[in-house]
Amino acid sequence: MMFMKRSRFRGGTDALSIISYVTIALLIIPILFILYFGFVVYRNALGFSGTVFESIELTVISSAISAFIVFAVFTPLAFNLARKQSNFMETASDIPASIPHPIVGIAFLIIGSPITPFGRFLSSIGINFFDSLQGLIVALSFISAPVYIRSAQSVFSSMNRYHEMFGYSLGLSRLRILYSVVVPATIKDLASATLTSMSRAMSEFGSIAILAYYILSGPFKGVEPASVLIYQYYGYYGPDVAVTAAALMIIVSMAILGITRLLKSGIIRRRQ
Amino acid sequence: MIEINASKVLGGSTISPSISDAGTICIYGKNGSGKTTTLLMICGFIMPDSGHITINNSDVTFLQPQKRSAVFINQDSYFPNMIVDDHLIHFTSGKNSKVRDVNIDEIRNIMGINFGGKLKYLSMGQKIRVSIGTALLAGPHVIAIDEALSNLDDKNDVLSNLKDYAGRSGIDLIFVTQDKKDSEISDHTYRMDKGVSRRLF
Repeated sequence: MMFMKRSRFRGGTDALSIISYVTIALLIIPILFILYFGFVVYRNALGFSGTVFESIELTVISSAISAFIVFAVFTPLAFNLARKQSNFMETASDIPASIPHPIVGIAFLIIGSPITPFGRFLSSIGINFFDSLQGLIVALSFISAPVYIRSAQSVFSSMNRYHEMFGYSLGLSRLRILYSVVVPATIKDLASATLTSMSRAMSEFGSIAILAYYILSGPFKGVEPASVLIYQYYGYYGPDVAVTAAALMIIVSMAILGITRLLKSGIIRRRQ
Repeated sequence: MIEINASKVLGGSTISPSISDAGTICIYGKNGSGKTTTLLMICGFIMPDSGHITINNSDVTFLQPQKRSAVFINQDSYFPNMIVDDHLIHFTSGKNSKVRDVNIDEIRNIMGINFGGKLKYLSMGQKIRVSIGTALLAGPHVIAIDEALSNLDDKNDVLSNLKDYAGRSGIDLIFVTQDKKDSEISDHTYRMDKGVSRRLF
């Protein structure tokens, strides 16, 4: 086994590798610039203030909650898409990723407003999307759902179908197979997909700049999501404070991506 | 009683088995002769292009796999994250726990299940013992075994006990093999060649 791993064909350093290194550099260089300018060149004290940390805390917590909601709500859809071809459902599940995100913010603003019957119903049971944690979580769940659905779909597609077939022939329903066989067998992969959708939620700006610019009630009263705060700082103070706060946010995002990566590499090692 | 008289075109070749028997049925034949496709048609995972399939005189041709009472078993027919006891009990049809416990003990003896742990950590042979044990406890009309028995070191003993238990419980057993010797223990044997079945006895 060790011999096979060592001797596996890796292609060496050829033109394709060089193109890959160059294109990866294109993705990494802007991030490195932000980190360098944020922590070394500008290093503005306001960028390390309590406001920034509260804002990052709000972003991480709301993104984590939305990722959990996406996992709970969209896992059956991802499983269904992996098993049954449906152009309509495939296309519909991509909609949140393909429309400009300010439109998503406006859409939820209208849905939750008292001008619609549904908005009046939500208000009557105490749910308000505008400038609230609820609205922030709803918007983040909506925009990060396609990322989770695609990742989970690919996890389910690669799974051995005979486990499920055994369940079907024993008389189990598809939903029972999903929760008693498929999810337990793929929980680490699904956790990785959930973290990927959380990373996507953390980077959201367009929809929440309209729907939840501030949080006006609850535990995060007066706090803005990190992406909104950085945008606001950029307008008020110029790049130095904004870049410092952005560098901090990048570190947090990198940590989440790092955990996702560790989880994935663990899964890959286990399969080998 | 299993009756299949159906036809399916797969990858350019036609599989058209014709089987009508009860008890323990063996199908043997070479790779690609259509043995597995026949089992998958009986269990509802492949829809025939024409013909019909009946189980205990009920037409199941267009019935979903969940509603056929026909369990399909191959070497991957297990739930990897379940422990052995849960796997066996989870689908048992016995509502009375005393009856169920007696059945489970008997099934453990028949299948030689004297081990525990999560299925994904067991050997291939152990997994198959648990899969067949689970199927027996579920009490279906048909158990279809796709070459899984060849992974058992005491294949003949297991098959003999399995045939005895299935006969007493009214379960029809249909298994496919490439080894002609396996057919000696069956009530009826069919030879499959190029998609066509021929009854030998």
